[in-house]
Parts: sequence; structure tokens; C-alpha cells
Amino acid sequence: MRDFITSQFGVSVVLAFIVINVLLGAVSYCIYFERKISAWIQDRCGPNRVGPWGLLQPIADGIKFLVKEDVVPNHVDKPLFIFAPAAIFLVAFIGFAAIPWGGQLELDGRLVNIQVANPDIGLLYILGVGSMSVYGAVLGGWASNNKYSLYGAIRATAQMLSYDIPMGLCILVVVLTMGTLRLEEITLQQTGYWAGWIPQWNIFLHPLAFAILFITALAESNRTPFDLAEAEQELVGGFHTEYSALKFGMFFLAEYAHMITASAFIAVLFLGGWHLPGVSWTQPQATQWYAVLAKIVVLSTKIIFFLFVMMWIRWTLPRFRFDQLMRLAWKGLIPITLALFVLAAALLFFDRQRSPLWALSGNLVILVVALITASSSRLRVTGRQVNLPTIAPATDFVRLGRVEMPL
Amino acid sequence: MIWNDWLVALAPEWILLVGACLSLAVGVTRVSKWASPIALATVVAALIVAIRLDVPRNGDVLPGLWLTSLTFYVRWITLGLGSLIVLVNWHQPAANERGEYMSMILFSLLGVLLTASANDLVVLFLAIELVSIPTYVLVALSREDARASEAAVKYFFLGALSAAILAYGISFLYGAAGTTTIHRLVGDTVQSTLRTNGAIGVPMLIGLILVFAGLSFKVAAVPFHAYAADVYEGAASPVTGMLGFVPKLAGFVALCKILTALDWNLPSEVNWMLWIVAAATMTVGNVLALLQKNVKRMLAYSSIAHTGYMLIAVLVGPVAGQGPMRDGVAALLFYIVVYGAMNLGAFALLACFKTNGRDVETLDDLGGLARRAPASALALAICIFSLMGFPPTAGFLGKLYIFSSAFSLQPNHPMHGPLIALAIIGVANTVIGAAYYLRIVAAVYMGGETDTATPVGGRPVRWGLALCSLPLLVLFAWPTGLTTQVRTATTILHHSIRTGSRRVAAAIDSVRTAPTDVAPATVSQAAATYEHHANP
Amino acid sequence: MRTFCPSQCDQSVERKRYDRRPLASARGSDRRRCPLLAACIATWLGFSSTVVWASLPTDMAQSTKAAAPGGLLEAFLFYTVAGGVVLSALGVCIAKNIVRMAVWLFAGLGSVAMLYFLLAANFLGAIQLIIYAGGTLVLLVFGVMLTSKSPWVRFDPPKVELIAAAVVCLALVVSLCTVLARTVWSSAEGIVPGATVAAFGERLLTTYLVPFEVAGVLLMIVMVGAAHLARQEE
Repeated sequence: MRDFITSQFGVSVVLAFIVINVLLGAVSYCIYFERKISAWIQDRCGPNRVGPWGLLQPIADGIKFLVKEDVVPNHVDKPLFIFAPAAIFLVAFIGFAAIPWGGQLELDGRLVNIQVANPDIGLLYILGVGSMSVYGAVLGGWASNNKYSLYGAIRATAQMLSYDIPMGLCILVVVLTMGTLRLEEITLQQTGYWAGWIPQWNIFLHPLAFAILFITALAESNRTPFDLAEAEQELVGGFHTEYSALKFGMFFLAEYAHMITASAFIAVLFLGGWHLPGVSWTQPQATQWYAVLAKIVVLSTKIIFFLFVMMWIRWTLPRFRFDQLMRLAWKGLIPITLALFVLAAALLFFDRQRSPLWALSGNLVILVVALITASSSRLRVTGRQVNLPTIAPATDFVRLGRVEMPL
Repeated sequence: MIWNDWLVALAPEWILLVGACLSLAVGVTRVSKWASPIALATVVAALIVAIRLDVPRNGDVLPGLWLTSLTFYVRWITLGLGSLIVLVNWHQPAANERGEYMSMILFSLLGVLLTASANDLVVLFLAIELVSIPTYVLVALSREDARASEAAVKYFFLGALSAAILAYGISFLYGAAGTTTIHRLVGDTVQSTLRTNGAIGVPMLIGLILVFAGLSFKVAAVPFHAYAADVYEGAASPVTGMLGFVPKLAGFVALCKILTALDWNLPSEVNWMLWIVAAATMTVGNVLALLQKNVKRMLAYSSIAHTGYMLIAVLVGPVAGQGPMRDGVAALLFYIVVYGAMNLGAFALLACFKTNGRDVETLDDLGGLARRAPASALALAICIFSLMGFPPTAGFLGKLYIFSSAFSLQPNHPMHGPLIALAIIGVANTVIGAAYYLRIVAAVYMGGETDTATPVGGRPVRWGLALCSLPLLVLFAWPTGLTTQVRTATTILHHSIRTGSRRVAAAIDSVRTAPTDVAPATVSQAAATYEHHANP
Repeated sequence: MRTFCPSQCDQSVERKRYDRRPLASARGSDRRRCPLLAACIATWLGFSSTVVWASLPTDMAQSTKAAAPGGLLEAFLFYTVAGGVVLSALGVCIAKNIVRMAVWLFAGLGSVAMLYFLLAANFLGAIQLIIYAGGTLVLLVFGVMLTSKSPWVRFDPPKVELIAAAVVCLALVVSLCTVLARTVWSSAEGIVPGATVAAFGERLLTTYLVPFEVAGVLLMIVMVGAAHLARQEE
């Protein structure tokens, strides 16, 4: 039995159990932090009634979701209506299987990976699972048989399909640089140093790809400024308008789980995963249990940092309009990431893929060209969508002074 | 070494690819009307390169490809007729769409070229799709019309279905053979992988039947012909002229490739299936064409009937001997060139005229054309007589070759009797066909003076029409040029029939050393050399 | 870009039909659902314990590198997944609503990906998930757009067509099954490499370079064609 528990398989099973449960807790506390951060940004107090500093608020919310009446409207497509939240929840959580949490641990003289699974297609696995996540939104929206939900679902699909492309290309940049799809291997390759002290993290090679990957991660997890699928003000919540109780809760939790996956993914790809320069416990050689714990703490800190930035963005930036969103993806991000991809391939061809000088100058050139192109464009950034027919001013509304009718 | 091989062996393909991308790029600029000249230059350049090309034709040049004499012949005729297709389509869509349009034509031609050199089932499948998919787009792009969109959607869905059937059949072939390569170089012997153990097993049989079903969509043979009339009617005339030739050529070349891998020795079930398909295709095509008033629909059904004639030639195969008079494949290769030219010519004429602002389509629209445009009417008459198979045209020779090849099988051949019967059905069908072809000619020369058809289209289309119809006469007078090429192209098949396993490398080398216009004597010398290698 | 817009008038028509029923019903049938839930949990527990139990011996044996690939577990998983493929394929045929069909198709393609994973073709499995299962999404959206006007459009083909299709399909199934059962398929030597991705990439760029490039050209054509046809709508 001991032999089983200390084998890789046993560790994987135990780790899967721990990760799932810890994440379920973390996800509900994400909501708490979101509310606290929004309150802080807007100079409010935030939740402070349940428990000290409102710390028990997530538990109260969870109980509320559980005991609320679970309404299934009569006009919905029942099987798909029930299937949709389950699908989105499942998909949001299985992505964690390939995240390398803490390097290697020495157990009974054997080295085991602190990772649920270490397949040779780790990156593709996360990409594939990520591309499944939109099904929940689409099926939920369609099965609800409600026009706002349908709008939300269609917007979600178009958005995901569009932002999948720059995301995939950014990931390909990393793959070309690292030459592997294993996430553990990618982390290990980032543990060296340039000039003795700069860690060889990918962010120092391809900062542009990092930034774009972060933007697409926002879009993929339906966060502001890309949250058109559930825009509360226009679509009453979008694809989950008709959901209530725990089903709604599942959509809610899945969104935050998605944020955590995306953050962990970016941290592993670009910020060296569990590696922290200058700390001997977070080096690949350290395999003691306390070193593994330290590595997990480091990775979690990076994840929490990204989560904070995402929430910060949400309470700072307004939402895009749909045509702006599409234009950003197709005319902005995709050309830039294509150029980055070609750059990475060229660096690989000349065997300069790990040289920061070449990579950074390439990034700089691409950035400058993109900015010049963008600034020379005659298209107005804001304003009305270009190719819509003109709308005659409404006459049956009372105009109040100089207030214009909203479009 | 690899780069060099790639560049040289596939030079025409590379040129087409670059030209297609160029015309695509030109299409989005303000000078998009330059797309047509670019396309023509590309095809002509590829043709010149293909003619001048002298690559080491050893058995297996590149993985997945095998360049044989058949490949070279198909390259020449594709690019030759391809330049005519570009000419006929010169002005077709609005200028802002011409870049895409021309690039689609070039991509389709590229697909035919790749089909001809494919030696791998995967490459074969992809190449055939490369022929088909641009044609779906072409149909939709060809004119701003709901009918064109409808035709494109029909064509696309049925085409996708046929691609699925083809892929399913290929998966069976792969399962039975254990490899996707069609011919394999073992030492200096080329072996067919489909026939490693001699006999054809049941999975192979199912695979073959499915592959034939998938291909019969591309060539518009009977159970899969239903799309033809609607699609041909919906698309603009120049595209229709192309649809009759390019996918058919690819389909028949693929058919020949697979049959060659089986040494043209089919199980009787497949033989009878092809027999029934051929007979039904001819008859259905001709009978339905008789009922049409719309010239495009009529020609669509006539193209189905011509598929039937060509299927006779496929069924005969190269077993009876060399030369188009006895060799079915040679007759087929001759016929398809002639058919491509005359079909394109007929549609090119329809593209030259408009009546009351719409395209010329019915017999009435053509009435009295000869009085106003005698030259065009004469060109049409030549094409129509050729389609009919009337003597002073090459169409007559084509039919003659096909029927005579069917009669020249040895009496001990299992399909000897049935093929003679099939040839007689073919002759009877030719007579039926004459009825509706003559109606077109009669309308043009003796029809009422409706005086509505007005010439449109520029000089390139007329040049295309002339270049389609004149060679039909020339080829009747001097068929030797083409028949020699056809004979060279089929050399490889004859080697494959004599013995089960071939030393093709040596035989092909000897063909290569011969001059391009190789006389029959040289070919038989090559065959003798080959025999020597095969049975030392 | 033309955004999809369900017209309000349709919506009101639908509303009228629904008004005959109560707007929403509380799930009073929760008690009836309890056994169902219990059954689900039991199945899940049984499944996972079977997996764990069956993998115990192989995992222990792995330390001595003598794991037998074709064990009970593999057979069990194979038949489960293959059954899933067949069931979802049937679902595609039987479903009458286009979105349901797409969902079944999604399940089928996902199960095929599982089969690839079972065969240790990891890369192929992942690609199958990303491209096919992910691509079904587009189909789904088409379904949504096509059926959005009247939410529950059903495909009810005429009986004659149904019978004809059933006869043809049955004949095909019977004949194919007979063939498959009777044939001895030649199988290649089973060398399962530990990591398939690198080998796969290398083959694609050497042995299968021509199909790879042709497929690239083909995809470009499809993209150009699709973009162009979409632009024509304006």
C-alpha cells in the first residue's frame, strides 16, 4: 500500500483529489476577493457582515445557491439545459491536470512529479480542453430558448473562435522556443540564468507574446473588457439568464476556475512556473517536501498576481463593443501574433531561439511596425460601427436638451 | 539534393502555386483586372516548363509522388486546355473578384497536375479535393445570381458527400494493403501494394467499389450524375465549360491510377458494375438531353453521356494492344482532350452572347445566330459536330478509337462479348445524341430571326472559342501528333500488364532517352528493353 | 459584420404558445430524481473504483517495466469508448433537432479522441479534440442560427425516405460487419513510442511532406472561398 501511495500513480490520485478540492475553495474565495477589490477600487467597504471582514461570505453564498429553488423553465430544451452547466464546470476543472505545481518530490528514494498527469502533449491538452469550454455557454444559451441567452451564446462563440487563433499562435511561439509540449519540461528550461542573475523566463524573450496571451486569456474566460457574452446591462446576464440556484452557481464558479487555469498556464509558460531566482528551495534540484511546498507557494503567488490584475482590469476598463472586439482580434492581434510566430521560427532556424537580444529586438520591431500601422489607420477607434445603415433620428422620443439618443 | 528534386520535378506545380497566390494578391489591390493576364502567363509558363522539363524519371522521385509518362501527358493537356479555360473566363466576374476567381482556376489545375503524379492514396485524395473545392467556389463566384448560389450549395454538399465516400473507400484500401503508397519501389522493381498477394480480398473489393462510387461523382457517372444539370445551368457558361473538363480529367486519371495498381485485371463484380454504370450513363445522359430546351442543361446531360463513352474505354483498358485503336486508355486519353476542347468551345460561344441582358441559354436565344455572327456560329457548329462525332472533326476520331478498342479485345477475354454489346449501345447512343445536337445547329443556322442575341465579352473569349474549335479540324486531319503522345503516355501501362512485377525504372529510362515525338518503333524497342530486364 | 438578430415578432408568437403553460414549474419532482442521482453516483464510483482496481497490478508491475499492454482494463475501456462512439453516431442519426445532432456529433468525435488516447496516439487524440470536437462548434452555431426562428425545428423526413434509408443502411451494416468479421487484417508490428509528437512532426515534414503541403494549400483555398462567399452577403 505504501508502495502504491509513493508511486507516481498514487501521488497523481492524491494530488488530483487535493487540487480539485482546494480549487473549489479557492474559486469561491475568488468571488470574495473580486468583491473586496471592487469595493477597494470604488472606495466602498465590500462584504463585511458574515464572519470577520466578511470572510465567511463565500460559504454563505454557497449555502444560498444550494438551498435555492432550482427552476427549470418549461420552454427550455431540458437535457441540454441541464447538461450545459455540468459541461462548463467539468471542462473548467480538468484543465488543471497538466499544470506542474511543484517540480519533483523525493519519496522513498523515488522522484515523483507533483503534477496530476505529465503527458507529452501537455500544452495541446490544455488548449484542447480550453476550446471545449465554450460549449457550455453555447448549449446553455441555446437550450434556454431566450433571445438574450441566444445573443450571449452566439457572441461567446464568435469571441472564442476569434481569440483562439492568437492564443494558439502565442503558445506556438513558446513551443518553438522551448522545443517541447511538456509543461514540466517548459518550466525546467526556464530555470537557468542570463548574466548570472536574470532568470531565463520566456517573458524576457517574448514579452509581446506574453501580453497578447494575457489579453486572449481575458477573452477566453469572458472577463471584462471582453465579457460581451454575459453583458449584464444589455443581455441580462447573457447565456445564463434563465439559470438559477446551483446551476447558475456552476456557471459562476466555472468562470473563476477558468481564470485560475489561464493564470496558471501563463505563469508556467512565461514566468517560469514554480521557479523564483535566488531562492535555493525553488530550484529544480531541491526535492525535499518543504522545497515542494515553497514551489507551490511561488506558483500560487504568481497565479494570485494574475487574478488580481484581471480583477483590477475589470473594475477599471469599460466593455468593448462587439465590432471593436472583433477588430481587435482579426486586425490587431492575429497579424501581430503571426509576425511573432514567423519571428520565433526564424530565430529557431538561425539557432538564436534562446538569445534575448535577438528575440527582444524582433519584438521591438514588430511592436513599432504595429503601432505605426495602427496610428496611420484612418478608421476611427470609437464611434459607430462602419458598415451599419444610418438610422434616422427617432421622432417619437422626447429629446431632453442636448442628450443624444443612444444607438 | 532533396530541395533540388522538389524544385525540378514539381516545377509546373510550383509555377501554378506561385501564380495563383500572385493573382490572389493582385485581386485585393486596385489593379485586380491584371489577374487574368497573370493567370494566363502562369499557365503558359507552366506549360512551357512542363514540355521542356527533363527530370530523372526513376521510379520513385519523391515520397508520395511517382512521375510517369502518364503524368507528363496529363500535365501537357491540362495546362494546354487550362490556358484556353483562362482565356474563356477572361472577363467573367466583376473586376474586384477576378483575383480570387483566377486563382481558383489555377488551384484547380494544380490539383489535376498533382492527381497525375500522386503515388499515395492520401495525396490522391487531397489532389482530387484540390480539384473540386475551387470549383465549388467558382460556381458561386461566377455570377451574381441566386441560381449560382443554389448551384454552388448543391454542388458543395454532394461533392462533400462524394469526398466522404471516396475517403471511406480509401480507408478500406489502406486497411487491406497496410500502406497508403500505391506503387512501391523494391530494388529496381516497382510493385503495386494493392496487389501484393495476387488475389483481391473482400475488403479490397469494398474499398474499390466505394472509391469508384466517389470518383463517379467527379466524372458525373450515372448514380451520381444528378447534380450535373442544375450545377451546369446555375453556373456561368465559362465556368460550366471548365466543370465539364477539369474534374472529369482528374477523376479519370485517378481511376486509371487505381486500375493500373490492379494491373487492369478487375474482379468480375467490378467489371460488371462498371459495365452497367457505363451503359446507364450513356443512355440516361442522351435521353434526358433530348428532353431539354435549355442549351446549358442539354450540354450538361451530353457531358454525362460522354462520361459513359469514356467509361467504355476505361473498361477496355490497355490489354488489347498499343495505340488508341486497340488500347482503351490511349483512346480515353485522346478522347478527353478532344472532349475538353469541344465542350469548352460550346460553352465559350454561350459566353460570347447575351440576350435581353441575360445570358444566352435556350435554343430560341440562339435562333438565327449564323446571320449575325457567322464566324462564331461556324465555331459552334464545329464543336457541336465534334460532340456528335461527325466525320470532319476530331470528335469522330475519338469515338472511333473508343469503339474500335472495345471491338479489339481478344475473344478469350472475359468481357469480350459484353464489351462488344456495350460498344453497340454506345453507337446507338451516338445516334440518339445526333438528334439533339442537330437541334442546336438547326437553331443557329435555320432558326427564326429573334435578333436578340448581342455579342458581349472581349477578344480573349473569341480567341478561346477559335482555339477550341480550330484544333478539332486540325486534329482530324493530322491526329498523329496527339496519338503518338498518347501512345507514349500509356507505355507504362503496357509494361505493367505483361508481367505482374515490373522493372519500370529501366523501361522508363529508355523511354526518356527517346526524343519526345517518339515513333512507335522506339516504343516497341523500349518495350523490348523492358522485356529483357524483366525476363533475363 | 452581420450580427444574428432574432426578430421580436417571432419571440412574441412563441411567448403566446408558452403562455398556455405555467411560466415555470418548480422542480417538485426532486424526490423522484433522488434514485437517479444515486444511480449516477453509484455508477461513477463503480467506474472509478474499477479503473483504480484494474490499474493497480499494472502500476505495480510498472516498477519492473513488465506491464502488459492488453489487459482487462484496456479491453474494458476500449469497449466502453467504442460503445460510446456507436451510441453517439446513432444519436446523430436519430436526433431530430439540428443542435442535438451537433451535440451527439461532438460526443462521437470526443469518443474517437478517447480511442486515440487508448491507442497511445496522444497527439492525434489532442488534435482530434481541438480540430474536430472544437470544429463541431461551428456546426452548432450554424444549427443555432438556422433554427433560431422557431426554436424546436424538427427534421421529420417522409416515411418512405426513412424506410429506404434504413434498408440501405442495414444492408451496408450487415455486409460491412460480415466483411470485418471474416477478414484477417494485416497488422503492423506494434511499436508504441513513448512520445509520439516528435516522431509525428518529423514524418509530416519528410515522408508525408506532399500531403502536408497540399492540405495547407487546400485549407487556404477553403478559407479564401469561405471568406469570399461570406463577403458576398453584404
